[in-house]
Amino acid sequence: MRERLLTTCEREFIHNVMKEGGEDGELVRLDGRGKSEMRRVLVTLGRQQYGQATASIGNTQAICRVSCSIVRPHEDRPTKGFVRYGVTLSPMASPDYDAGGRPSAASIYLTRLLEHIFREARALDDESLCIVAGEKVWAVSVNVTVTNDDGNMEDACALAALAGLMHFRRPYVSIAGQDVVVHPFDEHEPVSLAINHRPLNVTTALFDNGDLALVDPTKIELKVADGSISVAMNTHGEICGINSSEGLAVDPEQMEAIVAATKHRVTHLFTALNKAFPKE
Amino acid sequence: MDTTADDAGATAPDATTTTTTTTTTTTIVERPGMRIVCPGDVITEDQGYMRGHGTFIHDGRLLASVAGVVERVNKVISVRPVRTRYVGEIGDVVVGRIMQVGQRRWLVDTQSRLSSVLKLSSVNLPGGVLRRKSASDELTMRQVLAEGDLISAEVQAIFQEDGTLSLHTRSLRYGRLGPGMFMRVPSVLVRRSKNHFHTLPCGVAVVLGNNGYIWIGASMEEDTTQAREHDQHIITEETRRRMARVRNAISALAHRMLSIFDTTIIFTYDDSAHLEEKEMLHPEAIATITQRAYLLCTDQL
Amino acid sequence: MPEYISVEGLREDGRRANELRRVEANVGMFPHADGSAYFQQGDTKVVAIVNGPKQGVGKAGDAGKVVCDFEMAAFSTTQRRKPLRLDRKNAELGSKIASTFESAIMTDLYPRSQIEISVQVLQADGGVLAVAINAVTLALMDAGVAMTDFVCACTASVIDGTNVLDINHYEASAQGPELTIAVLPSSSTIVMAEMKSRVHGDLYAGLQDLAIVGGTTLLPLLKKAVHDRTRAMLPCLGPAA
Repeated sequence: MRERLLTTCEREFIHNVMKEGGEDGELVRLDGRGKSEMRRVLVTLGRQQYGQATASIGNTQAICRVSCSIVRPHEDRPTKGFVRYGVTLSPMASPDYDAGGRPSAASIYLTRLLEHIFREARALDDESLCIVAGEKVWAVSVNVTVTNDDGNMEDACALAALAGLMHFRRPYVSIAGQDVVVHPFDEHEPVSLAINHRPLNVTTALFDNGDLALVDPTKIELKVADGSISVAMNTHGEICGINSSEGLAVDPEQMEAIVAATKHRVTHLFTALNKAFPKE
Repeated sequence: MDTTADDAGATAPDATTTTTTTTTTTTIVERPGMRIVCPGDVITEDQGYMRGHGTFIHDGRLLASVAGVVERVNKVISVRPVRTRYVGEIGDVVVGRIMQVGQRRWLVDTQSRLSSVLKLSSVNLPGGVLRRKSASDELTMRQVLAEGDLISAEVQAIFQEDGTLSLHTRSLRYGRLGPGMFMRVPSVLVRRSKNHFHTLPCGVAVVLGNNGYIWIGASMEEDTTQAREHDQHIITEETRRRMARVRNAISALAHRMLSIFDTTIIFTYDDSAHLEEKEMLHPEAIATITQRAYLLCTDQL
Repeated sequence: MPEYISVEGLREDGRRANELRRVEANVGMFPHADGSAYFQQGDTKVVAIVNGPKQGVGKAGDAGKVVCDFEMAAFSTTQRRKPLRLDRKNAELGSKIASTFESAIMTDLYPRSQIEISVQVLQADGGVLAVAINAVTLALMDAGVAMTDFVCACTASVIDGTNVLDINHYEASAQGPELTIAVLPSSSTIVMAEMKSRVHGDLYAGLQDLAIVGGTTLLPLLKKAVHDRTRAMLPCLGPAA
């Protein structure tokens, strides 16, 4: 389906609304937020199944399902398990997305974003997924589906994925001689994944060559924006990934400011995440 | 052409580079008076100039947007890139290939960014004006010009919204080209001149399109509306040999990236007399036969 | 415990922390393409080919589109890679390169057109995205595509507590952060930023500065390659008269 076109008057209105505001967050966006405000963030965990989590940021919603299976490891990496990430954009999310067919550029971008944040920053411990070196390892599959796209799918997907991973439990495995016994959940308490650190993503959209930066853009704001930057950060204040989108053109000072501000902004997301895990 | 940077002047305060120098394999002749610029270079800070192709204005200064040579015509400053897709100007002579027959127009391939358009109203129809009304459906249009036909035409107009060229063949010398050879060279090698239709001293006819498409034929058409009848003429072996020699001469010039016009073609043709046509394309031969053309193009003649 | 920086401050290949690798550039080796370039930094070797602007899809009002196809040759890495039909990493890099140049190419001049970039990595020894961007800049200029400035890219990392510039594959395996920044050198405007792995937030500013310096240092080298190529091509414009 064709994308809904943004009319010129809408574009101008959004632009002017952002310009007319004052210097420090007095400016009012279409939904009443200031420049640095995020929308309401909500994380809910599945009750029937471990590893299921739903994250919503405003109207943007992503659902994560984590599952696992036992496979042979790579020959050169006999003690490391696998974690595979995949993001699909459901046609529910927006008329822009078609079902099936080749993965679109947007879904590839989001999948790679998760791989950047989690795999390349080593959030999960591969070696803890080893069962029998050289023969059997766990392969964990993290599947995120975006069910509603109102902008900032990046942060919603990362939040859903992390919540899913934290919530997930794999079966307990015992080794009796040559045999590997996988214990069902009612026989033995399942085991949670070894997570080294917890990264979450904050996306900022840029306008007017970087002069104006809005955190957590909605879909319509993204249409007017020049480009956006996603910065991932964990609870230790470490940056776990930076990805820029098309049309970016920003001064180095502005870029540094956005990265520095992530520390403050990501706490909003962690607060929502922690609410879903009361015991931790 | 190899370039390795040398380390003089390539260091910034906080970073250093280590590079090596090697000698270049092509001798570069200085062309005083030709100023080379790269994208982002400041051409002038003077406000009195108008900007032409290949430039843009930033902070009140005129900057280059392509790599090429600065040209000034009266008050207009432009940058001519040494390599680019054909950008048409009104009055250019082009050779084009009919790609598609459409509603009252043909789509023509001219090696430019977008396909060019030849409107039915811009064509001389055989039999004169009276046939116009019945010619407007596709079948009759195909009898005039069909897919695959080669034409010579002039650029009449440029569509403002996207730069598509609108062609016309309203003179007897333009129109369908008969049997002959077709060549494609970079468009920048064919510069604008008063005449694009040449009958060379050896008797072979060439049409040099500004867009880099070239037609080589046995003889120049007098009235191109009769062209289909002329298709039946038999071309002798001697003429074919001459056409092949002309073709290889142009190919040699293109290989060496030299401007292609009647003088350079004639120089190369004459200087190849001692070789057989097929020997002209050997790398050593190309250098020899194009030497006079090279000297001419670098102002050394 | 592998040593990345010696006590004298020399890296594995003899460079100092803020030194770029040896650069080699070759513009226009594929005359049948609209534009082409080969760029090498150290042992990372990339070929870029540009075709266009040419007919694309879209309405008359649309600005030109930039698309990039990114491929790594099977022999480019230490272990032979089987080329997959849909390689997500390649798709992502192609997309990032196309995005980078959307900011520099004057796409408004090419309505209804498409600029097709093709990148082929011949040898991968770290900093592949940065070297590819530099190669594409040269290829676009060879094709006569209008741009507001050069686009220069460079990587920076932190190894053993020191900020280092232009890392190779060995240094990337130290699992420190790998920041790739592409800038428009005249204004230091950042047009692409990618960072892999982890670094403490306080250290980011220093890394960014170093990467930008690396990019602006590359500018004269890229400029010379384009300048030389243009000079060599001057006979094609014919006699001055």
